[in-house]
Amino acid sequence: MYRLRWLQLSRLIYTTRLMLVGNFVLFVQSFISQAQAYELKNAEVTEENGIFQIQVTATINAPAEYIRQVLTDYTHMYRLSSSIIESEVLTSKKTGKTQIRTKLLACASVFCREVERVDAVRTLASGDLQADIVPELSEFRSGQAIWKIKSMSDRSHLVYEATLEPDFYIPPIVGVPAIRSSLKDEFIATFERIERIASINVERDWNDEHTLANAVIADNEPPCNKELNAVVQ
Amino acid sequence: MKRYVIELSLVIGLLNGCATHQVSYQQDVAPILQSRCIKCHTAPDGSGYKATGLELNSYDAVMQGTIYGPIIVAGDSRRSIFNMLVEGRAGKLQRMPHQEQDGLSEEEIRLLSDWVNQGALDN
Repeated sequence: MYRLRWLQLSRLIYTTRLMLVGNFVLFVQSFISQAQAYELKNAEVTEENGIFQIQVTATINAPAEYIRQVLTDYTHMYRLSSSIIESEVLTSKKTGKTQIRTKLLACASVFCREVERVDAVRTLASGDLQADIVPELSEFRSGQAIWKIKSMSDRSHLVYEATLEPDFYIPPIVGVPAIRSSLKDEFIATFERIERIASINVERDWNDEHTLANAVIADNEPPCNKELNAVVQ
Repeated sequence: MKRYVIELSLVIGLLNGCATHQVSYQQDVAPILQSRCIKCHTAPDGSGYKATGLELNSYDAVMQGTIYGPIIVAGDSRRSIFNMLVEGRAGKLQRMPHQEQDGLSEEEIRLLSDWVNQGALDN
């Protein structure tokens, strides 16, 4: 009898402890998700004579250098959008400058189309980033995008401005409003991803143990480690 | 009447033959991951794990993805980073597995792609 009461009491203490720990974890998670939420100031997509203009502005909870790092990590470009189904870093034979080839799965409503584009990318003296579409290698007649990154202490003011002139037929059934809406959703999602990746990288830099770039690769490790280290460098 | 039944059976048989084979995670996918990917994607010392936090030693770990987010879009291998990397769609440097020049065989790539397109089930 005495033993049974003791068992009941220990079970009660255990359950209460579990609930307290669970609540604490939930509290921390909600705090983190609030801290990570970026502030969207403006997202606008307009169309005139077949030319789309996009402008998205937001305050991101990550320092400017980390935002720049994410946007210039061209080998991992596919992390920024679920529409990217192929990506490759090229070097222009003519100019020797960096070009990025992407294949996008562009969807509006239920209609999807694969679209190929090549952008010549560069960092401007201001630290902003510019991408110019290479029309002869793309399914666009013209296009340009600028990422303006302004530091706000631990946060950043990020502006994306672009013009795009598709060089492919858009069936009337798809409709320009559906494309505008889809582009807008796409860029809002991309801003979220930029913030997420930049925040993770900030966190990782605090912990050298998990930063591959700082890891010392021992000679006796498997070949994959050496290969990957070479890739990162 | 009998002839129609026979023809109908033939058509159904042909359609079944054309249908894609149901890929099993345990029987088809896990062995590929085990033999070709686990070496680098195991916690805590695998280089792949250190780079992105991706573990490939269980179904749950595969579906959880990297610290940057999931790598599988169930039902859509084209949008899945997992398939993009093994198929070399993200460039030569990103092709997985890194340590093997030829990457996975066509058969292995097709199995992984079919598995994701069939819903990336834990079967």
